Amino acid sequence: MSFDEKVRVNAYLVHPTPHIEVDTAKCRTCKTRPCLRLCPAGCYRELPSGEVAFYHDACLECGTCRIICTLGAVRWSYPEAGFGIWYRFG
Amino acid sequence: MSLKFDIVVIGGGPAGLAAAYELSRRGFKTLVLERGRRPGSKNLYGGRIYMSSIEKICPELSKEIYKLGRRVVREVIMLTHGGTSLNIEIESNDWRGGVVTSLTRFVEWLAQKAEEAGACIVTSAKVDAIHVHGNRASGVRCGTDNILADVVVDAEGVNRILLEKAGLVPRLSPGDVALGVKEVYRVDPREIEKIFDLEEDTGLALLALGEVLDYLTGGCFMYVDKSHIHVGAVLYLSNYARFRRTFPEVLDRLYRLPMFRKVVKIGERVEYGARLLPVRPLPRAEMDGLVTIGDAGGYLVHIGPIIRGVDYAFVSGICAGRAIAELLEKERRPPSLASFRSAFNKYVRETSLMRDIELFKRVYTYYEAEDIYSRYVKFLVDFFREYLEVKNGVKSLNETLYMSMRKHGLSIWGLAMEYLRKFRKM
Repeated sequence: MSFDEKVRVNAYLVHPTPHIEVDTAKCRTCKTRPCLRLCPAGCYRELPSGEVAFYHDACLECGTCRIICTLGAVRWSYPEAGFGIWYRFG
Repeated sequence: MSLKFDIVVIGGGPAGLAAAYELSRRGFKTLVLERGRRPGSKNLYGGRIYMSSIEKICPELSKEIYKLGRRVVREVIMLTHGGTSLNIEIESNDWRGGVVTSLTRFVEWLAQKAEEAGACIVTSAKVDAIHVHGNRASGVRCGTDNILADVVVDAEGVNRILLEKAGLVPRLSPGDVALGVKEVYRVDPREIEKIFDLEEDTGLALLALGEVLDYLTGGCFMYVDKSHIHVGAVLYLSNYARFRRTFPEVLDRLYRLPMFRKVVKIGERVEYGARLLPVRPLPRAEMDGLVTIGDAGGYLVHIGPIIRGVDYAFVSGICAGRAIAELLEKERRPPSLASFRSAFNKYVRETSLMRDIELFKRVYTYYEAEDIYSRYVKFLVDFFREYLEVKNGVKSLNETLYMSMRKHGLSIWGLAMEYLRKFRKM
């Protein structure tokens, strides 16, 4: 099952502005790109051009990318009050 | 706008709400600020709350908690290797394995308790900063509101954004945490009882190690709740570089095991979530006027298969609440850190929390050793398979044991030395 199919069952209140800022220029020099595999929601994708793209709408607010990015490309915060993932079972 | 409360609590999860419940009950004006739309909407865990410490400090509440889910009466440890699984199962009607419940249900229940006691819970309220004046925390900033309080209780969770911002704790490093990813399946309770051979109020907990996580440090789990089943995987991020899969792949492969396949077959998938959990003791940040509890305070114990998160979050919240209440009643002024610590220790002594944290500090490195998840698992599975399976001639116990140990580079002597070197400290 793909990332998209996994998160499809979740409830979200997506804010139009991303709560995480990724400096994708820094990703160009990154050889390992652990975010592509480790972000459990698949928010980080590799584009055909080889660039990394970040999409915030499926974010589970776990904080993994904040910790594993060694290049300091991730400026992490929680979504605006009341927005983001809405766990109904937890 | 400037507001004044006796206590302001950051975060309406198990720790923050337990503190708010205790403080409001004692008559203190307590404000809880929760960034989610409802209490519990940002909370996630594996699926089980251990009960022994909660029973000791809050016997009246623990009866209600049992009603929220299923009492664990059966535990299974699954060692997986080469498509074979060796299961160790223990079952007893008076087994003290805690309660399997949905965390959202638990947190909503606790929020109701706190509100009945008089706590003010504001949701969709994200705290931006903790105010520090001199060496004392004096309140918080939340949007355009400044909230003053005698005591700030930080229960913001494992991602300690506010404490980091205030320069009170170092940044988390990959070695400090594990990433837990889980799915929830909705299943008809009668079906659950039939398939897993359970009663109306009994449940089970299952843990799988080895091949299911590519022999990396961590494991997979299953908790059987009233009408939901929680399934997931936990990976120590210290070895993230060697993790070659994605979490959807890990879960989908897990569902090929018969025990897990049942769940997918009879259940409807309703949620997919993730969180970080500390696997090393986190340094605690405290100062005059600032108390940290739950994951933010490092009150989580992760020793091998036993993860005590929610129960110790709750216990740290209740004991912090009791300590603050006692000091505010007695001293009639905001308590100092030293007096808080001694009062907190007095209340928490009734439970195993501090003893467990001390043990955690001594032994956490041993559980990071990959040997446990690869070599030992492979050896045990191979040994039992070789010994019990009849392929040709019957093999003797000694011969099989010797061969399996050699195959995986283990020896009796080596194991004994290993034990003396490391494990006796436990």
